[in-house]
Amino acid sequence: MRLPEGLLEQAQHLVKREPKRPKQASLRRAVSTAYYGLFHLLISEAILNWRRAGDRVHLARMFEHSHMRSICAKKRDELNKELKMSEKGGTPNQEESVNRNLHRVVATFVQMHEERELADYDYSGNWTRTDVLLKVEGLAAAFKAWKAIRDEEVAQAFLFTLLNKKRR
Amino acid sequence: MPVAPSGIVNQRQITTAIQEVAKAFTPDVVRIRYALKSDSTGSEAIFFRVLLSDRASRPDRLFETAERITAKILDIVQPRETFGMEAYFNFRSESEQANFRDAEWE
Repeated sequence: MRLPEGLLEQAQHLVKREPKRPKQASLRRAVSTAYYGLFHLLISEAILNWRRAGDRVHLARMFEHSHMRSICAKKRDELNKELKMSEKGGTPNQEESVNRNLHRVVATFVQMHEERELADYDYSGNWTRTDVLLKVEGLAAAFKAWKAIRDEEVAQAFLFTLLNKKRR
Repeated sequence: MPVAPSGIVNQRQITTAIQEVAKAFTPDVVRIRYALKSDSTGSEAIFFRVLLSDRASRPDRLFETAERITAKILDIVQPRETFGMEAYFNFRSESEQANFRDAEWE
């Protein structure tokens, strides 16, 4: 099992670990672990495009959480506009389906980046199983969405933007 | 996109919108609350808290119900388009709230 899928599975385990009274530590770790699952999924997919396999581990260290989040937010907003336009156009097509899947991935990343910050660093508030179950299920849906579009041009182009900071 | 400070966000507009959503999802939604505060990036954001009935919180219905509620809130409130703010969502069941009694969920 690859690291991203392993992290998702661990998050799914943690959220159900204590059936009656879930520990706050388990719920917080489930949220954080789920986020890292998606973080590593996108990075592991992006570095596959680097032909020299030996360099991929070094390339993986160049991705930054906050940059990835801002790129995902930007992509989500672009896709929102495109999806609204295509809704007016009538019958859904293949392009719309790809955009919907990519939208799920990027929107989930933005949400989960914030949730992970709260789960890891914010002492205020109680986490509940209902909320964490939803977040982990949302992550699983994002994994599924990514796998449906990973070979599409728009998905591959998106991966490149996660690393690219600014053109000279 | 411009970001509106919480002081000038039309809170009445938001309150009216979420009441509309809560009504549309009765009895699944018990109530919706929100808070305007900074997120981890330092930007003003809106954090929605959606209290669900225990029935709506059953695992077999939860995901689909929450997705519909989230989409409806985003559609009606339009936090990014209208206020330039990111929106975040938290859900809990009535039983969970009865256990914690967190004031911000009342």
